Amino acid sequence: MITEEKAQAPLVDPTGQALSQLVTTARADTVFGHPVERGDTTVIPCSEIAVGLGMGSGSGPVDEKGNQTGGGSGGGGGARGRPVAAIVITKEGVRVEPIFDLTRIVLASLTTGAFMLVWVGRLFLMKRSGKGPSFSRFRRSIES
Amino acid sequence: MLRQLKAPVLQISETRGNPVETFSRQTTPIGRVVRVQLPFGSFTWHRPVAVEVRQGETVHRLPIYDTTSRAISAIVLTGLATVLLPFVIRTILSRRRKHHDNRGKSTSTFS
Repeated sequence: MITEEKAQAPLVDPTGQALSQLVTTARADTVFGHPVERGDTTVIPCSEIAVGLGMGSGSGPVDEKGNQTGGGSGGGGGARGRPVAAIVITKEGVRVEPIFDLTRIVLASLTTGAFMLVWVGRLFLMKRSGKGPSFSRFRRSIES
Repeated sequence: MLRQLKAPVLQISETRGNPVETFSRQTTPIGRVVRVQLPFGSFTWHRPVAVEVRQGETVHRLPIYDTTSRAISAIVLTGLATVLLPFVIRTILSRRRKHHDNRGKSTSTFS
């Protein structure tokens, strides 16, 4: 029996929530923050936002009686946001100050450096063994 | 028969933030939305692209650059080029060498 209290409880619809999140992402105020005023200077923070979601479902084979043996469905999503720049409005004019994320750059440099080190090291090892590098060997080593 | 309208897979649109009026200037931030809609999912990417400054009759458009993304792309591309270039150069050289060797062999059999 459904009581009045239960009937009035809000229904949770994950798909609807995710879709409404996507619609909100497309609005301008999600990327541009509220202007902050300090004396003669006004700053508008700007950020980048990315939202993605996916879902899928599948069913198992049909048995001798014609019944589905199993099935399932799932979904997932994620959102990412980061500051990009700040618009600074002063008496002299308007300028855009970029936001430099040093941590991300250092991490990317370290990853790329490690990748380069491994491949250049392999190249030298190939040279030493007398076998010149080739694209087929390069492809094989990527696959392995 | 009811016919459903199909939404486009890729949608690119421009958004405009609230204009800010200061020192007889109107500043409007402009963003860009890239939306990919597939039957099994959806992706939305919204980023700032420019600022429109209107002063009287003149309108200036200042671009907003994402320096962090540019720097990361440059680092990754440099790394890939450093790894791939020696492979490409050596492959071209070894192919040329093979081609020359085959030519030498063929001329020796005919003479």
